[in-house]
Amino acid sequence: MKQLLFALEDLWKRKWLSLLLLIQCILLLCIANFVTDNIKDLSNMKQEVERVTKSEPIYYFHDLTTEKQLDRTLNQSAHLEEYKKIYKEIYEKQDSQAFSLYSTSYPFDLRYFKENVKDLIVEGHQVYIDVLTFANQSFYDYAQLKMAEGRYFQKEDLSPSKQPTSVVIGADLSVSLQVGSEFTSDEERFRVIGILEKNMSYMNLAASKDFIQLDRMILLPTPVLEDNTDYYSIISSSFIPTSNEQDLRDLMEVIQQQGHISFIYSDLSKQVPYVLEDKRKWIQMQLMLTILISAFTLISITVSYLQFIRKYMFDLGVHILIGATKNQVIVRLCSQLMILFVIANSIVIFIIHKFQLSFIVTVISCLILWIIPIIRIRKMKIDEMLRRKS
Amino acid sequence: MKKLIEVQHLSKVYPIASNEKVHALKDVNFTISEGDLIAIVGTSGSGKSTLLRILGCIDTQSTGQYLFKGLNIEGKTDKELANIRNQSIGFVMQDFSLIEDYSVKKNVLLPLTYEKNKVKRNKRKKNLNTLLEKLNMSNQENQNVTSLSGGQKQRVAIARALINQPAILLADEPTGALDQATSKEIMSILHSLHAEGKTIIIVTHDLQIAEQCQRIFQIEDGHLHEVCEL
Repeated sequence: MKQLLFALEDLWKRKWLSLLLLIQCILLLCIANFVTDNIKDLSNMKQEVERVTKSEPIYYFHDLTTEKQLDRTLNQSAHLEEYKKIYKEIYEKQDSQAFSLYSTSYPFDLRYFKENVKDLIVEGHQVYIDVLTFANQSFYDYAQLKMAEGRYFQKEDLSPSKQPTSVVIGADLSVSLQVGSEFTSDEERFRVIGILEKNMSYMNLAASKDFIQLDRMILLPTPVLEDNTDYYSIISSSFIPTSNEQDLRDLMEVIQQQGHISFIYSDLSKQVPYVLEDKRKWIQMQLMLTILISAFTLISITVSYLQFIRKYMFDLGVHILIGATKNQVIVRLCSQLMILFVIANSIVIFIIHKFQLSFIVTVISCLILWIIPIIRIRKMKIDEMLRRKS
Repeated sequence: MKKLIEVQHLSKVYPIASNEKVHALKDVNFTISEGDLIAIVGTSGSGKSTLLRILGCIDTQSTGQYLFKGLNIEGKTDKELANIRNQSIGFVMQDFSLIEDYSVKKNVLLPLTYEKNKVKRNKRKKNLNTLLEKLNMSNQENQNVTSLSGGQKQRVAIARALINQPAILLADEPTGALDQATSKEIMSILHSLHAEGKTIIIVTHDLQIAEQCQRIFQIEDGHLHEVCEL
């Protein structure tokens, strides 16, 4: 305990040097978190790909719509009926399992989300929250969702006429709403039937290839369709799990008949190896860079730490002279670094909310950084220490 | 008088390169009793500081025996040696060896940090004022040591060396960094401590100081012999 107090005193006496060391420690922890996030991403992606390739084929659309075609369709109302027809062919056929990773930011009445205000975009009396539509059972299976409370959508929830509309919310929104809570968007009413577990996400393997977090999103089983609904975006982000390729051929015929948008369909499982390879290369490059930066940061901390210790060598010699053991002095030195890492850890955890990894990195970093000072103190003679008056 | 230190056939060898060695001390033999005032004289590099380090349990001998209060120091652990330094030995160094960011009081009380016995610790804390008064430092108790003169710093160092009531004081060139007048002052303090029964060993190159001591040991090229006993 005494050595810990001495360590605190040492850090306080050399504030600027301590601050420099602290910044370096924070940097090291942030880089380590970044590295493991990348490795985790790659691992999650591999799992995602394995799962997709093992399950029933999931088809998605390649958008081949030309600019010329798009120009003609700018005024969507003229072709609304055609789009609705394609939409129905995809989503309203019997036993349709299609889902869309179509999300949009939707305004809800602010008074129901006061606890989440700091995390969301507020405009006047409304708060904008990302809503994922078509979050049906197929989507649930695709994203391998898990419920923390309540239930997921069932058949009765899928009817567009059901009031209030059933929704499932992400874990972070549960500070404002519970299962059974109702909220509104203007005159529309919604009721929470379930809350997802924390850290639920999905990856759009066909497009962005990034994991989209669901913690602050609202899931709707079906969209509230209106005349100004972006049918084109919904169709182009559709996923169709089916073993019956004839269904797809029928759908393509309907699309070709209207001539304003062009798609081909593709089996996701055949695309994902390329997607995975792309992602792997990108992550490997990032990893290499961050490992280099980590190594440099570790060396930099070591140098700064040794300079820090050098300023105390005389004081440590005096302590040994009057009765401290070398082990006590080593504990004092190790405590200095440990205190800095504890503070750095607290700051990093506050920013990125990941305790376990930061703690592990702290332990490993301390063990590495302690080696040189411990060896030096063990080998150094007391009179050598006493000669080092700063 | 009771024997405090017994040294028999003590040698110290330092390796300096792969095949080269320095024999800092060669077959040193002597005995120190309680209440002795000893001077160890020698030129620079003669081995006197090496001997003081071994006597102060800061370093260990290569061969030979060193008995302190009847205990063989050889084979003692770092913890045991630290305890001996804390409880039984007071150091007074040429450069004072004070912690510069601390006050006089904090420097003097520093050895009590390593005193495990709480009762002893509290008792000795209470003796602080008496000690500082004795050394004429009561008015500077809360002053930072950096603002003190050389003589005052050495008095603080002596106070720190005495706080745990050690059996022996080891002084390595205690007047080396002081002017003549201040040196006399410090020597006067050491003499008064000796008069109270304290055992003191002074390492010095100054023959005038050595001549003030009861016994003088001369160390030359690692060999020690007693010059005279008063």
